[in-house]
This record gives sequence, structure tokens and C-alpha cells, in this order.
Amino acid sequence: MTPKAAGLVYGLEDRPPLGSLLLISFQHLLLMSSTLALPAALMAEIGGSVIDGRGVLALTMIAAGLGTILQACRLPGVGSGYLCPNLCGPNFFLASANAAWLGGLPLMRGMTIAAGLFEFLFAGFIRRLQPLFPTAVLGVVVLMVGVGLVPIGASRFMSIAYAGDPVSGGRVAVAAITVLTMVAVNLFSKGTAKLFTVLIGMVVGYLLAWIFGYLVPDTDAMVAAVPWFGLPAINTFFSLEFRWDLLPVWIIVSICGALKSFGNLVLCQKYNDDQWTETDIAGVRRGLMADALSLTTSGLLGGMATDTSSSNVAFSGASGATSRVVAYVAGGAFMLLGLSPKISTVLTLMPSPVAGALLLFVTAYMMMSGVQIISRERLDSGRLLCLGLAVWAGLSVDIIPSVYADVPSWIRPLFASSLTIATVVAVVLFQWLRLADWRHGGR
Amino acid sequence: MLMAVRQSVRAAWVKARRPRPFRVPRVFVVIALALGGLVCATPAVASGMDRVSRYVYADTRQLVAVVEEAAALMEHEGRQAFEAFAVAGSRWRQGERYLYVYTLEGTCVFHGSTPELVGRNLLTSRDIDGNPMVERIVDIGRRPEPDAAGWVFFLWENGTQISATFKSAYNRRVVMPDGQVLVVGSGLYLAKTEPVVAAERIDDAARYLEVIGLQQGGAALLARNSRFVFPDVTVFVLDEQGRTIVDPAFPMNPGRRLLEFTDAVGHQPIIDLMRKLKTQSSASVQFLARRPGAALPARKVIYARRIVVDGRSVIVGGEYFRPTPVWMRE
Repeated sequence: MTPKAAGLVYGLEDRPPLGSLLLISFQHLLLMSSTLALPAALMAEIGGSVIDGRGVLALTMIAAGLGTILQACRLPGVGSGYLCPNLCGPNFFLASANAAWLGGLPLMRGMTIAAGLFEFLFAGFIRRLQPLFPTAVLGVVVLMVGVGLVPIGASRFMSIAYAGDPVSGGRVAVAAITVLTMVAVNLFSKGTAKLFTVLIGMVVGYLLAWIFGYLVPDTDAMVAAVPWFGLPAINTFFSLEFRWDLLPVWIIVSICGALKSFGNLVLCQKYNDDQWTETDIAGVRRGLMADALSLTTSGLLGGMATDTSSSNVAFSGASGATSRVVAYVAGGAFMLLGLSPKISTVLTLMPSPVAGALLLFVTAYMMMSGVQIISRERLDSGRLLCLGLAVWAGLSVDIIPSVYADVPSWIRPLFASSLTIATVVAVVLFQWLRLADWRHGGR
Repeated sequence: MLMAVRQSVRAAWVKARRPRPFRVPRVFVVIALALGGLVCATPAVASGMDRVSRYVYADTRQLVAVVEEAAALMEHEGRQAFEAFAVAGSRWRQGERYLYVYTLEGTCVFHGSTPELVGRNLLTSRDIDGNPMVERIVDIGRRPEPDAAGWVFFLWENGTQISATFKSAYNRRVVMPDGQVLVVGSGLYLAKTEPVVAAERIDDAARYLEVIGLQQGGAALLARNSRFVFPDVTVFVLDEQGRTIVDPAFPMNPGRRLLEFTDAVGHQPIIDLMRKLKTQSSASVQFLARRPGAALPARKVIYARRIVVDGRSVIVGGEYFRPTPVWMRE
């Protein structure tokens, strides 16, 4: 049994009292719901019907819930045993939309399954790949996962969806008050009140959004129009397509997802162990297997690709509740809610300032966790410089993507995200230094 | 008295610090339950907002809301509302956005940016392409519906460029307290194309062709001052084999085969469109294309409708760029 880390209220093996358990799980549910707008956006992109959209949403929720439970289990070869929930993966959105444009939902499903199978392969070789990922490189991975959430978080926080949208001072104020409430609860509350950081912040945010009229327009009509219970439509269940030319992009996205999950699982290990110094690679392998299983299941069912949630992992650290029982309850509830179109619709209609505040809170925590991991290793000036170069490369892809627009097609997948390029640069430069050290008889 | 207060505060503080088993405060449970109820109990959106909520982009929604509110104010206060409309920095006049008001005869009775136009009849004025924009604005006021509204597109100077810029103006018929009918409007420069506006305009072009016929209507669709030419949207007509009948790229030489047209990622949108139009009367598809000066391809939408003109089945459509959300990389 893992001893409980000092900063935790409920550790991995603890079983919180029922009331606390339900409220903590509810907050995880809210975080898992933060990307549920993506299936709806995808269906809008491809001009799908409302029924198809509801079906994709429900099946994504079922797959994500199942993945959350599997991840918390410690089955032979599958499951890290940590509270590391799954959600609808934002990094898969563009690839999914592209596949759905080209071949509809059957092609999206086929490519999602292919990405899942590739992650199985990646997980299988992770032990051999371990020397590529020293602690400092993992810190960069965690940091860049946080950086990857910045654009969507900033967009929601400022309530700016498209360039040229007017800035609403009121909406920004609601977002700021919401995030400050979360920070205040997290900083100044003693012990268990920290568990409800997100809930208290969101209640404040929802109340302000309601008072000032910032709830999503037509929320009541949209909620009223759908039933309380409904099985997802499975009219495309037996229809699968695959395209070889899309495979490279999906492999890259799959590697990004796996690296993100790698970072999330390292963070889980760190939160649950005060003395953490190096990665338990066997645990990461089982975690990646669970992630791959969840991704493949989502494709098989007909949902959008799922991924482990950095926001939930960061929140579990910030709140001090990492009990795996929370994963069982939140995952089970997410699956059940997938069968209730009414409740899943409510979850997708989170007001922009509230969602932005939530993302800002967890992203800030996640980025600093990455920095903390990096600082655990004693780094010489050469390695510090390598990390700096990796972060620079990653940030440049996010800040000025257009400079990479005309790179040769065979190398383009490398620049698919800041996470990919930063990881590749960090890995290559660290291996180069390792080789140099070895040649000079150093470490 | 002070001592007593101090003692009770101190006692409460000591009590609060005493360790005790944790129980979830009931207030949190109540709040959590209320959260779900709160979302469901959102007050119904006012009917006047229906016109706003049909648009996707926040700047369009803001423009429509401002014009609708201005119309309501004019219907209530009459011409006194113009004083408020003229205040710089107010809701009615901000940045490049200002209001204008015309009579049904085309006389300007209020202009937020160029007061010199007030009192002048501008009915015959044209933009650089020959668009009779004031005539089109006034036409909206002549419609029978008491709250008629619509869009007019034209080229206009915006004060920050030497050449004229496309302006999308939303206009609303107003019945003043004294019974006079006016039209109030405001516009956005280089606005994002709203899917609902594009679809309405292309459907309008289809109806026009059904009445006028391909021979005469085709040329009118492509004229620069046609009401079917508006910011970044060009209307085309295809036959059943995907060959152009009305071709904005080669107006004098139609017959181009677009069926096998392939975009930046290998997608064939016209084949997709044809497939959809076999079972639907109208459909939308997307593809990737480069904007002028942009390094990365952006999403472009084709909206099209199948109609019968001169006894033959044709497809009337238009394409426009769809903006990418700020958080999404193209």
C-alpha cells in the first residue's frame, strides 16, 4: 500500500466519506465535461444531424467514463491505479474533424481505432523508451501539456471565440472573480475545504453568469428539447472506414496523446508520493494501456477520441484528494450521464467565463507542476540550455505557427503541436549530451 | 461591552480552530443541487433576442442587438433618441460602429459619423461598384412587416484606409410615435460571413433564377452591383455533371468541370455536395483553401440548393471562408 503523501487530504487508498466522495466526484465530472462541447462542434463542422450529434456525445461519455474506471484499476497489464480521468481529447479534434469531413463518422471511427492500436504499441515499448525520458524531460512534457491548454483557456476566459469578437468587460470580470474565488479557497482554506475549490468557484461563477445574463443563450429551450433518458443512435455502428494517407497524422496525434498521458501519470505518481524522484515506468505502461483501451473503445463504439485529462489530474493535486474511489464514482456517473441527453446537454452548456476560469486555474497549476518536476533534477548548464531550447521550440509552434507552414510534408507532423516538437527536441538534445558524457567518461 | 464582544469572538475563534471530524457542510450539498437547477431555470430569452441568437459570431450579434435596441428606443422616444445616438463612446457610437437613419424617400435624418449628410437625399447614391445602397436600405423599410429587417452590403470608406472597404449593414424598419416610417441601421467593416445570411442570399439567388431564367439571370448574378455579390461570397451555378453554367472565375467561358475539384487535404467537396443533394434540397460542405496572404489553409464552406430552371435541374451555390476559432490551429 502506498503511504499517503503529506499534502493530501484523501490519498490514493483512502475512502472519503460519502458526502465528500460525491462532491469531489461531482467536481471531477464538471472538469471532464469541459470538452464536451467538442462533439457538438464536430457535428456542426460536418453538418451532421442532431441525433447523430447526441449519439457521438453519449458514446464519447461512455468511453471516457469506462477509461476513467479502467485507469483507476490495477488489472493485469492494464490500469495505473491512479485517479487520472479521461475526457473527450481536444488534441484529437482537428484530426477527427478532418477525417469526418473526408469520410464521415465511419472514417473518424476507423482512424480513432488505428490511433488506439498505435498507442498500445507505444505502451508496449515504453520500457525500452524509458532512457529517452529522464525526469527533466518529463517535466518539459508536463509543462507543455499545460501550455497546450492555454489557447482554449484564454479564449474561454476572455469569451472571445473568433478574432474580432467584442470584448465584454462583464464576462471577463465574472471569469476573474471565479478564478480568484478558486485561488482564495485553495490558498486560505484549511484542510478539507480545499476539496471544494472548483465547486465553490463554479457556483460563484454560475451565479454571476446567471445574474448578469451570461448563460448560454437558449439554454432552457435546448435542455427542454431533449429527453431525460435515451440510448445513443447506433446507425453507423457496423460501418468502419480507413485511409492510409491519414495514418501519419493520426500516429502523431496518438503519440501526442500518449506523451500527454505519460505526463499526467508522472504527475499522479508525484502527487501520491512525497519522496518521488523517478518514474515508475511499469505503472506508466499500465496507464498507457488503459488509455489506449479507452481510445480504441471510443472508436469502436462511435464516439470521439478520448484522452487522459490534465485538468482533472492538476485538480486532484490542488484539492488534495487523489483517492481512486473518486475515479470509480466519477467514471461510473459519467457513463450513466451519457445515457441522459438532458443532463449531458446541461454539462455541455457551461458559460464561457466559468469554463475559462476553470481552465485557467488547472492550467496554471499544471504548468507549475511541470516546472517543479524539472527543478527536482540537478541540471548542469548544458542540460538547462537543452530544456530552454525545447521549450523555445514548443512555444514558437504555438505563437507563430505560420512560420512552419511550408516545412516539407515528411517532417510536418513534428510541428503538429508544441508538445510534440518540445518533446522531440528535449529527447534528442538530452540523448546527445548523454552520448557526449559517455564518450568523456562522465555520467 | 467591548470586552464581552472580544471574549465571544475569541471563543468562536478557538472553537473554530478545534480539530473535529470532517462533515460535508450542508450548504455545499444545497449549492451543488441548486447548480443543476439554476441552469435549467434560466429565464426565457426575450422574443426580441430571437433575431440576435440566429447569428453565430459575437460581433454580428452585438451589431444586430444595438440596431434592434435603437429601433425600440426610436419607437418609444421618437427623434429625441438621436441625441443619445450621437454621443461618442456610448453604446450607439463606438469605434467604427455608428447608426444612421433614413426616411423611405432616401433622406438622411441622422448619421453618426458624417452629420453633414443629414437633410440630404441619398436615394440615388452608389458605391464604387454601382451598388444603390441607400435604395436597398430604404427597400427594407418599404416591406409590409412592421419590424422588417435585413442586410445590405456595399463598399464604403472606413476612415482608416484610402480605398473603400466592404461593409455589412443591418437595417430595421421603425414606426415612429408620430406614425412616420424610418429605417435605422449600422454596419461592420470586413465582417465575418454569417452562415444564415449566406444561405438566405444564395436561396434568394436561386428563387431569382427560377423566375428570370438562366440566360438572363446568370449574367445578373455576376454583375458587381448585383445584390447577390457580397463580402467574400460568389454565387455559381452547376449542371448535374458538375460543370459550371454560371462561373464567377470565368464569367465569359463557363463549362469548367468542378466535379473532381480537390482541396488541400485531398477532399473532393463537389462530389460530397452532389451526394448530399441527391436526398436533400439544400446542403453544406467544407473544404480547405488558402486566404490571400495566409500561410496556412483555412476552412471554406459551400452552401448550395438544387432547383429546376428552364426545365433542367441545376445547382445554385456559393462559397465563403469560415473563421477559425482563436484557440484552434489550422
